[in-house]
Amino acid sequence: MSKYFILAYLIVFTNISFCHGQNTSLRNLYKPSNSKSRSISPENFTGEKGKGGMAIIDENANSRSRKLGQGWKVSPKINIKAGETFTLAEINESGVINHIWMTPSGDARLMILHFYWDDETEPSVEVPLGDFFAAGWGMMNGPFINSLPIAVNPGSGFNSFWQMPFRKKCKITLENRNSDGAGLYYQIDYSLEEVAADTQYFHAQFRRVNKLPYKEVFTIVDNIKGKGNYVGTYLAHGARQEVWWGEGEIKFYMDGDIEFPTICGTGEEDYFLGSYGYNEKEIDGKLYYTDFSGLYSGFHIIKDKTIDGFIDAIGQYRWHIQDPIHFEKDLKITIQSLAWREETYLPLEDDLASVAYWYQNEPHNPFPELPSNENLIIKKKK
Amino acid sequence: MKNLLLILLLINGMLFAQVPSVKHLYQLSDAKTRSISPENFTGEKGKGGMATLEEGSAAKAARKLGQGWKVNPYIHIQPGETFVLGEINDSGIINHIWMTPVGDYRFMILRFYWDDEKEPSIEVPVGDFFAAGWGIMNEPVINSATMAVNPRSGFNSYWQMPFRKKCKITMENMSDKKATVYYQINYSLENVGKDTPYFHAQFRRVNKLPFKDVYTIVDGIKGKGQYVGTYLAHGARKSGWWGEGEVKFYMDGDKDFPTICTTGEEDYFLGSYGYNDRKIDGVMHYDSFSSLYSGFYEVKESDIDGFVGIFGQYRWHVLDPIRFDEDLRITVQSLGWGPDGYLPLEDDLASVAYWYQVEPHQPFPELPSKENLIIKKKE
Repeated sequence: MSKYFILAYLIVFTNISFCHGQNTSLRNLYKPSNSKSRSISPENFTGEKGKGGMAIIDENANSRSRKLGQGWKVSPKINIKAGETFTLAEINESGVINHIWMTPSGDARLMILHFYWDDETEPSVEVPLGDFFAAGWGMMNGPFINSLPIAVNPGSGFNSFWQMPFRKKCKITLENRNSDGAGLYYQIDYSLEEVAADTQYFHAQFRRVNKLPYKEVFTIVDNIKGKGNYVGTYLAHGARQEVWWGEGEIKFYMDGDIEFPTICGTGEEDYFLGSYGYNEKEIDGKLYYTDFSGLYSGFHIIKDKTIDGFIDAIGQYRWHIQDPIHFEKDLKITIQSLAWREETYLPLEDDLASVAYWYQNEPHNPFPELPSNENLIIKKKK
Repeated sequence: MKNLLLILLLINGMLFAQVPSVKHLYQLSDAKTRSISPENFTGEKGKGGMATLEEGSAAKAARKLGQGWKVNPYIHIQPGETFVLGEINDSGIINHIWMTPVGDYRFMILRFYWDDEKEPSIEVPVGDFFAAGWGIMNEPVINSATMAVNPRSGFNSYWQMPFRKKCKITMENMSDKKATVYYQINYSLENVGKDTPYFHAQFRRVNKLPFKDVYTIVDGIKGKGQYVGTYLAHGARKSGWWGEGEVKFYMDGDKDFPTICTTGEEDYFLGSYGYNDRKIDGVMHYDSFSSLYSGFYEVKESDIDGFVGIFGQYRWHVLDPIRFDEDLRITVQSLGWGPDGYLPLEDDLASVAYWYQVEPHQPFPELPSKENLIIKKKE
């Protein structure tokens, strides 16, 4: 009998962990929940109950609210000085981040997001702000992204709906590596609740190789150790030649794979769920493609023509939501950069930058050091 | 206590749902992820991208680079040949399928067999299966909860397809030309709950609906299950609005009258008022849409012969599955507007019905002959 009780308990428990919290499954919204909703923004830095919009007007500053007073949008944004790291949020409890919205001003490649779970000293998320939201090329003319976990709304309305659970603590910081101050409006929506024993932590890692050495493969992520689920890839591709650039295969080496991967794709645009060169067409010697933004994947050409050095600046995302890649011990992901010319693959020396998104048990292996400012920056035309 | 356990397991089973959610991603899983593609036909661990230049379909393109450099990313299927895309001898779930085929889609027949069954549970031409039935270069863009068609022919299915012992997926090339397919089948090896039914999809087509007949989307379904979706291709022969017909669901012994009766073709596909139809210079115009649970598109400037309007429509019953206990039959009328009211049409209707049910399923009606599958092209 006690065996049945344990089983019943486990089943109920699994059900509950499915049902509470925010969820796009409409089926769960009518179920009662004991979690408490809180939200951190510049109008309530601690997220505490009943403490929103309390900022008072600084008589010395030329506040936009000076005629209206407290409660009238007195502190909607922060300014981060050059070189400063600002703590966007610190929550000393158990809970889940359900949604983040932010809109920055500044070079987003030089604004670095860090997320720390519980007491860890090595961040589980370390990604430039734009890239984290699958918009790594800056904020001129889009992209617009309408996907399940990420939305980029017109202008620079960056949204993440990735679920990010933590047991004791969560700390989110933004480092401004620009030589000028940067501005940020933001809102972090979370729920205070128990986190089940089988819950893993969210991770995101950025990489960039501006000029891929000839015949080398680009590593999206490697040295992941532990058990977890790989859930998404953002890949920014700066194409230097007027050729179709997306032939390269993605490869997932998991759980001891050495020479050959378990999962092998059939092409770059294939992995991002497109086909035939994203409907590529040549008109007067120039290649044209068809953008799309789907729930699970998308592709876009950046319209900002001030970016220097590329024929096309490209963004691509793929979320493994219905098809997470479970790994038991380790994971490494690589992609080739190949063009198609005269019926032959041509290795490219393009600019590749990526974000890998996954869940895993802690501790995670420390990330490689972030590239220097020089290797992070996207050059603009003079 | 055992009964309570069963009930709880059932509730768990219901949550195994098609509704996209990011919530399950942070939970530990003991499932093993595998993926079949021409670069790893068996899906076995550590066996991807092993093709050598002697054996690869793209060996010529890769000749300067060698093994590991996209040597075998696609397959050719010869005329009359049936190719086994995937065979898995284990228990698991297909979570996602991507493919981009080249050939006459109506003559490229997908078949899925679960466990040891001889009669396929899915038998559908490849384009229609992905709600893109009007052929190559006539594909829509679809961004829905369960299917995505990305620019040109990036076909994606996110239907969950569980199996207990075995899964076999084949593609038959009925055309007299060689077909080419790039594909990837993503699945997880895991135990499948006792109460889990199997995925089914059936294709039908009546090119010229007899006057005042109704079109049968599916019938002869026997067993317990849930109906989860319809794709309907409609070739309109007469100028004017063509979507007045009602969809009817006859379930669990219904004979003369159905249990679920809708109010019109575009209504069932969750549109309204002729998909915003209007006549400009004698030509009908509509507004296409693609949303999570339903969509409508018009194929324009195509090479297809014989129609004044060419349409595709899909409806996924993801949040509103239609549960049936014993049997199910679904029909749709084809009606236009005439001077004296409704005008029965003799249009081209082709459909795919998608459902889950406990096996065994009733064998499907024979697929139409090549002559009745084909979409005629302009001379």
